[in-house]
Amino acid sequence: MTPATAPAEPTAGRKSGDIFRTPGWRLLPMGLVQSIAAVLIGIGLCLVIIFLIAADPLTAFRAFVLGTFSTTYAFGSMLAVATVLVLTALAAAVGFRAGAFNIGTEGQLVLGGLAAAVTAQTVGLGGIGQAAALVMAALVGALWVAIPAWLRVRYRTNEILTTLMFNYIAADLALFLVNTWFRDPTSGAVETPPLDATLWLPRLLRTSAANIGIVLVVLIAAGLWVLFERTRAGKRMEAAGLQPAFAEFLGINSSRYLLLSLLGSGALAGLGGGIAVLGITHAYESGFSPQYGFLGITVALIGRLKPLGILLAALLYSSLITGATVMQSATDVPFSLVFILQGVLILLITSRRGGAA
Amino acid sequence: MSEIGDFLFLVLTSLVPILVTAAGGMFAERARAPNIALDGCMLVASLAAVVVGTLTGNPWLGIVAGVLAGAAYAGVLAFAAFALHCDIIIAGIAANLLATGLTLLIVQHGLHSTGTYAPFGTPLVPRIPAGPLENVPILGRAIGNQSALLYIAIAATVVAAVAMNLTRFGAHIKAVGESEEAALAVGIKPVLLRTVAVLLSGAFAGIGGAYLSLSSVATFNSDLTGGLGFIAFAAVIFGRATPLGITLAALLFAVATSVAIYLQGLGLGIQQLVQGLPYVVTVIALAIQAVSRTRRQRFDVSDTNYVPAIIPRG
Repeated sequence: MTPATAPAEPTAGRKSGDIFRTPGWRLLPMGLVQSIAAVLIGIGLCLVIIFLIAADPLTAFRAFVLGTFSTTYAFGSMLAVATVLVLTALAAAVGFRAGAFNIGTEGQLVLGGLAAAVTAQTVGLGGIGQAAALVMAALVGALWVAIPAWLRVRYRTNEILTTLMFNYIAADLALFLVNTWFRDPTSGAVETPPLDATLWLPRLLRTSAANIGIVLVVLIAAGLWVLFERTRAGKRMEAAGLQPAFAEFLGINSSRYLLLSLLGSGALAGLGGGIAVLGITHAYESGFSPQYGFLGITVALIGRLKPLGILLAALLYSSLITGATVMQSATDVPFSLVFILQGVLILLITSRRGGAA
Repeated sequence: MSEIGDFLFLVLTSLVPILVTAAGGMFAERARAPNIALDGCMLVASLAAVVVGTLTGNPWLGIVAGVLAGAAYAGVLAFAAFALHCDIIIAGIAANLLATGLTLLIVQHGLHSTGTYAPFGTPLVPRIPAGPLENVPILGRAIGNQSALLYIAIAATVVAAVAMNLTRFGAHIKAVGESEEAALAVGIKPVLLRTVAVLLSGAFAGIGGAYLSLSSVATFNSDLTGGLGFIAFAAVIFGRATPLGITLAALLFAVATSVAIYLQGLGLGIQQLVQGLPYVVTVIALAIQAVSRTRRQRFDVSDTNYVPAIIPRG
């Protein structure tokens, strides 16, 4: 794909070696160094902000960086959040690698979570209910990206805008569905009835939210690594994402790979919603996602679109999220610092300043 | 009759933020520096507007603050795209996320509110009575008592249209967007012009943002825009970044918004569902445009047609 917008670049054109770069070169020009540098600069910036606004900067900063490791509960929450982030990040990465920007992971996750809660409730208790719920979550996630994906593949509709719009539609739809059919009549909030404890994903650490989902997620990440690095399909997907025209010339049906990748991306995000509902909140609650979908984009970029990198980046980022929660309860610095860090990190990581491109 | 007038009133109020923001986005799009951070610019601007309006007690200063804040925030995008050399779309998405975090931080920490900032006694932008037109059947109700910002927004759009089509500046913007080599050859500085275009789009989005927080209720929360900036961006794309096109597109999206508001008022029990109508209409509009472009291109071998910068030419 020709970079749609590469304003400040020299007009001479790209070097011919470009297509042999790592996938996502448009986004991630430099090596691992840049990810590490970006994270350090980002955390440094947070330190500056904390220093400027906090009454007691040292306590706040200690809570932000080390809060995750202060209690078992916090550490468990970190693992639980990381589990979901890995899935949304893999979802974003699969889209990026195939040459499309699925920014609608948030909506796919929300509807996947709702589908999981409802399915688990209706199918029955125990393992069958859990399995059905997770499969349904993935299916609904894939279904929710199907229309934008088809429009993108068939008519080259701008998928960034359509998937983004589908986030807003998903939020309204979920609200409507819960209010009309699935609402817990005994609750004042917009939420489904609490799930039976046999439907919860088994917990790993007592009294914390960390759950068995983490094993599933690691397996999925490993599977994707094999797909990306060791299979013909993965390489074809990569080629189709980097240079659709060139891929066509090689006899690769790039549209098909793009469509399948986007559907897979939606399924991963939907599954993330299912895991969040069965493992953390144990019911669909309006606003159960603190923007897992968007956070996943950041994590995918920090992890340089590679499964192993994403696993590490998710741990790092979710420990900052948990740290921010601890910080918010212990000091006067609000949680929203995480969202600022997120924006700054994306800018720093995708910067091509000094890079080869 | 008065119901039609009331509905048109609603359309005009929904139109203002979309139209004025899209008018600014047009410059950026035409210069091939698409500003997808319009939503973030609006958000930052609306917070600046309501805070300055409250502090000074003067809504006009609030608007000025909104415009400046919008432009300044677009400066972040310009910096990321032209100094850090980020992909401008990714940078725009990042800037939107950053705007949410930044405004939340300011509201929670600086203004000591939990999530919604609702200051006391903020002056609103005055509403303008229709005067002698008050008694014209439909028109009187439609334009009576509209916010002064409606007229400012329309004026701004007209200025933008004139600037785009009739001035040297507009010609330069288009030149940079269509052929960077040609623009360079005649001594136009692409980066400079693109920076100006992006800043301009932020300033226009600032008017739209100020409208959100200073026209009817002076409150702010980080969901205030509800994706209006993205709808405005979609209007730029759907309107093919021409003044007439974006006006019609913005009108379409404003009608969809008004229908949604109107249906919610009827109490059909599907309030949440119709709330999504503007977004659905946006997707349909983009889809229709893409389909017709695909059809046209079947017979079209020339590559000189204007393609919105965000759509990959692949």
